[in-house]
Amino acid sequence: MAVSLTKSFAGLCIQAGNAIRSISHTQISCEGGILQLYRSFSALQIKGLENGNRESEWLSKSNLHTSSACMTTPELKEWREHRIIDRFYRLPWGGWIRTRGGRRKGLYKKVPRHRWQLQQHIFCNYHQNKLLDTLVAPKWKEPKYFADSPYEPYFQRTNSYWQPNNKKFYP
Amino acid sequence: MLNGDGNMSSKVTERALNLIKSMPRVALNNIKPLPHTAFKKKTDRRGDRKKKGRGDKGQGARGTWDPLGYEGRQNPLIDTSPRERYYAQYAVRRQYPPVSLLDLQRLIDLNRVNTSRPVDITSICNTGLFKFDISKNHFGVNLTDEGCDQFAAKINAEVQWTSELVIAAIEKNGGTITTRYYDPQSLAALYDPLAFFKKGHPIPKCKLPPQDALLYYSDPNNRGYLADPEKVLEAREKLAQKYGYKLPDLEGDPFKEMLLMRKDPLQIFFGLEPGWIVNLRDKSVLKPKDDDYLRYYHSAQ
Amino acid sequence: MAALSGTTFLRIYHRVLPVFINATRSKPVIATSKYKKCILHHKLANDKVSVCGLLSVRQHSTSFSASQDELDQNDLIKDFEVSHEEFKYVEQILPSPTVPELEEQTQYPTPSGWFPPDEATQAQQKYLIRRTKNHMLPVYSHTQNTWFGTSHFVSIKKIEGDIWALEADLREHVLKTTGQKSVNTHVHEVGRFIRVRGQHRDLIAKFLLEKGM
Repeated sequence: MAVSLTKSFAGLCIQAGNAIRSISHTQISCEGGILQLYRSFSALQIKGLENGNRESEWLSKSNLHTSSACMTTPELKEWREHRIIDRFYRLPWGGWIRTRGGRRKGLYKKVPRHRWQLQQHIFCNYHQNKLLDTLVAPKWKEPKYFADSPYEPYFQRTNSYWQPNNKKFYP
Repeated sequence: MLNGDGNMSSKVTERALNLIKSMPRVALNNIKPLPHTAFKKKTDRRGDRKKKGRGDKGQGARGTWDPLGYEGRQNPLIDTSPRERYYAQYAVRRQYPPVSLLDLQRLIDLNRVNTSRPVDITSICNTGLFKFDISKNHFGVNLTDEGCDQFAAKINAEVQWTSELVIAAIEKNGGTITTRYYDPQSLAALYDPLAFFKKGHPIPKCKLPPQDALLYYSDPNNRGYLADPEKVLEAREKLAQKYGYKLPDLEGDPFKEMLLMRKDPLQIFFGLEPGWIVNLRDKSVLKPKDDDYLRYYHSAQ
Repeated sequence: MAALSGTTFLRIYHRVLPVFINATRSKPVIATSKYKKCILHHKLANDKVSVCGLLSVRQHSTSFSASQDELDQNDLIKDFEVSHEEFKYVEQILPSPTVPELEEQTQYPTPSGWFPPDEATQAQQKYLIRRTKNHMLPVYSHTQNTWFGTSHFVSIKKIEGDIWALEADLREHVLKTTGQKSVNTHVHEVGRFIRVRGQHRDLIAKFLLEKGM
């Protein structure tokens, strides 16, 4: 069943140039992964084109869409107060979180409970939240949808009268 | 004002409407703009002479207010808090705005999304209820697990990010799901296909994911589009065992062909190849035959 | 398309170059490639040169520069095929201009919890609240931030019939369920909406659904 299903799986892909594609069943591992991936795509046979030395083509990074952290410019970034953005994180409901000072200093003389407390990220109070909101541009208050953010459980409040988790749709 | 059972709703309203009935017809000679819309120039300058409305002495009069965040001579919170890389590479990181399974089920129930065809980012954008913005680094849709217990539709879903629970919810109902990467140029065409076709550009070919996303999209557990199909089938069975549901038989399904429809890694629209140009006015598609042109659009170079 | 008469061509310049014909203009748009990157050049009808706004995305591995080039007859692609069969795939992708009509379902509520209004119960009421074009209740919550405080409101729109009877019923329901001593409401007879102060959106929606709206 599985073999016929894979065949239909591959066979039912809409092919470029009405060619039959055979995706090679090579294992994509971490180390040789990218090369093996390219090899699998070099099995593509498109009608009317020469099958040249595809491996060299693939090894060149011309088509790889690589996002590079250094390539953004100050003009494209949003205006921000560095002191805030370097230290605080804004949650979509208006709260800000920060870290505690001294969490890496003099740990030998701190009891375990104290060390644990200093590890926690803590909320700022009402007035601090208001202050930090005025110190950043409006674009920082738009929600950011990073995948797998560790702060996702804190994006919605629970048991809050002023920010209730109402139903989305009625009915 | 009379309502259904003939009772007057309010004396005030009744009087107001009787007043309006007796008035002349509205015309240019008997209307004027509302008072607040006209800018009233201040003519009384008596208070402006000495203190200009700023009061006596102090910071208010002299404009020497403390900067925001200043806490007297105490070290302020914005300086004493330790630095933490919360926003590391925020301008470059990819974002995936969420659409929940509940939203998707609601769209299907209200006939906004056609389940007899694959459901991908274009189908979601065409409802007009979800907006994505390339300038905000929105690289597609993240299908979240809100409403996974109520989800009961058999669909062929193609999204950009999802979680294991969502995959289980969709496969339990007999559907299939693929995670698929699109580069920003392709996304511009996918988010608003009508605007893209109106420009008359050739359909772009989709580029491979960047290095940090390549592993995600080659992983069969994420149902990545670059993963081995055989391993994807194995992963389906493993997930069914993990979550304790019986995996529906895809082989004997009447919608098998639709559920197994997949785009080529370079392709962004079903049925349309990269390099083709769409002519909306004549309702035709132009397919150039030049070798160089085709080599560009049919290879990853 | 006026541009694609027998005399207009696709053009290649430097290798790999898609030429983009702008379906709405008479002059073709040229793209050139350099060092295996794409440079897009958009030539407007009045001969001004500008870079296509589409490609001002920083992550894309293309670089953008505008260069003025003359059309060279030798570089144009003359060989292309016009197909009408594949246009059906385009029609499948294009959005519908209006909200599609509902289909009748066998079972209500639907899996996401939607059900249509109950006309039998509605007929017994003195008022009617119409559903929105997305077939849901017009009940919305918003907050107003002023210098004298923050106010939370729930507004109910599209009210027909005896608006004051609805206000009385709402007031009674909110007082009973929340146990508070008073509730402030704002009735707008001409605009046909009611605003209730407080974070009571779920309560009010549930109340209206029980009335069959």
